[in-house]
Amino acid sequence: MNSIVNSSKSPEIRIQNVSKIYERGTEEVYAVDNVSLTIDPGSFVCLVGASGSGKSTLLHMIGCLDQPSKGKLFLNEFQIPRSEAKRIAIRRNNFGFIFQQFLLIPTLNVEENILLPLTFSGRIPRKGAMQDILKLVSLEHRRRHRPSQLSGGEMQRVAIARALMNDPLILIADEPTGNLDSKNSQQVFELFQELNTITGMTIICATHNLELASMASRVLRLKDGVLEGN
Amino acid sequence: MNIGKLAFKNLWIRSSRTLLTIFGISIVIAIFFSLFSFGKGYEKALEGEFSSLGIHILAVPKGCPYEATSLLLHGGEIESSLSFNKLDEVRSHKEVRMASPMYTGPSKVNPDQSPGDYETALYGIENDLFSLKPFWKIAQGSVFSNNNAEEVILGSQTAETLKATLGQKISFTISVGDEIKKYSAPLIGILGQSGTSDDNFIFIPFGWIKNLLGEDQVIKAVAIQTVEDSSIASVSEDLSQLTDVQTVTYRQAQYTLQQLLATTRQLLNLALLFTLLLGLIGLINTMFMSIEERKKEIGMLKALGATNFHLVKLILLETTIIVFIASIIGIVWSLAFSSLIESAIRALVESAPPGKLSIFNLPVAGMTVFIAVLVGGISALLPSMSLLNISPLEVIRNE
Repeated sequence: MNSIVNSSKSPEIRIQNVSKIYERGTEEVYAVDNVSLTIDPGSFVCLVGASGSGKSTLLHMIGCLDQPSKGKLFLNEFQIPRSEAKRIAIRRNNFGFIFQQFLLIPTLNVEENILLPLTFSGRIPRKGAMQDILKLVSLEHRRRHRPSQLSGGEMQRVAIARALMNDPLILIADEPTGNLDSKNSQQVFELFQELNTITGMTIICATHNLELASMASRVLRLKDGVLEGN
Repeated sequence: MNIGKLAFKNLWIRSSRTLLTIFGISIVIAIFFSLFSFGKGYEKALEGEFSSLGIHILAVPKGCPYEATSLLLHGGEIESSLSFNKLDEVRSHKEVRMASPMYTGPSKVNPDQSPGDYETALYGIENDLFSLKPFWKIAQGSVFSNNNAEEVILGSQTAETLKATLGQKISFTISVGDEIKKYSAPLIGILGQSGTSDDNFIFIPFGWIKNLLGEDQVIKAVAIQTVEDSSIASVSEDLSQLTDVQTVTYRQAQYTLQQLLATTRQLLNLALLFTLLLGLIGLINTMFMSIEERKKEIGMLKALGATNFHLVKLILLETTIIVFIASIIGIVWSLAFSSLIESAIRALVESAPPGKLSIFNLPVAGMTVFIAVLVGGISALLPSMSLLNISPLEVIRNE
């Protein structure tokens, strides 16, 4: 199933001297500056920091959505390659993504949106997987609704269900509560805790909400691209 | 959920633009299919018209023999004439079985009680022309009592239009020098429907028109049948040696008209190419717009694991669906408006043969759909290339 990582358990994530540099005219801007850290398998990690601190950039590099300008990233002993095609394969087989904007396809209903990752991975879901996932995110009664008919909290739960459909080893959540009220935000983090406990899935989440971040097993602070007190 | 279903859903949700695109492409397909069908139908109609004739050679005054042939077939005015001496010389050729003189010119016809004038062509013929045109059948009445009688025979369409009945007096005009004179004579026969231009004409005995116009102005052509089919070429060659006479065999005329048609079709094909090009540019533009509009969605699909192959397949499928539906609608449109298109062609092309010019042909329809889908696929490839550069990150960041 996860040929590249060669494991059915969440891999260890190792980040070695990773930097992400953008050029602004002749000036070089370090969005992430020489970060090194290791994330244990099955941990629930929150990246916190102000806007522009580099938490999303670091998260995207971990999730193979972006590549570092310098440094190396490893999943267990496997170094993430620079080739886009190979990174897509790793992404598809190992990661689930949740974004602040939900990014649901408006033309598809809840069930079809959740099934979308399988269209590209070619995997066949186990029997009852859809029902289990819908139950987990409490959306059984909304399976035929379109995104436009859902509340913000419900849309984010659809996005979480979609991220889980491929049985990912690592869940990447970039400001998942940014568009939600406090009650829905709390529910999302409780769901992350539950998932982490039940499945042992590694969850890495970027947020600027310190209260929610405290629900994680580990909190990493970024300031101006630099990791503080790991 | 598969990519095909996703393609359908994408088109469905943007139904206004999808329908507009289908509408635009269907017009291009309708033009494309009509021109194809027209070409095939025209050739068939021309073939049918010539093959039904018993006339092997036409002797006409010097000039353009093919134009004269076309005018004789479809009714027109030939300026110069042949003398009676030439007719005698033609008849004296040992290989000529029959030579029948003909007059043709424009005329306005109406029965006495009819309010308006019906514009058609007047033919002066001898009764023996009936044996050269075996498809001529007298549906009502009889042939001329003699070749000098003051009598009228009408083609089936003319009789129907004028609601003419046997025995009724039919008035017609004829150009005598610079004057237009009016004559009338009883209707003694109505031809059965032949499916040729002859259905639209009025016929009077050649001898009578000779008396009206004089010997020098009356013979516009001589229809000739040879003794043997194999001697057509040699007889044509012999007769063309006569002073002021040109000959044209019907095979030559048919070939020349087909060549003319081929030239016209080349021009039409050029127009067709431009139409296709316009359709292609329109489709490329639509697909570019569609991709540009859906950058966010496409980036998100990439984040979910979609490869460029998946996305190109999605765009190609969407294009194929649009073009396929547009092709079917275009063909239906073409068939629905074929009579209108045919009328337009007949108005533009005087020498168009009778019968259906545009015929439905299943292989042509299949080929039209195939070409359309192929062109659609090609036009989708270029916009699809822009997908390769869309990064999921760009989309996520731009939110």
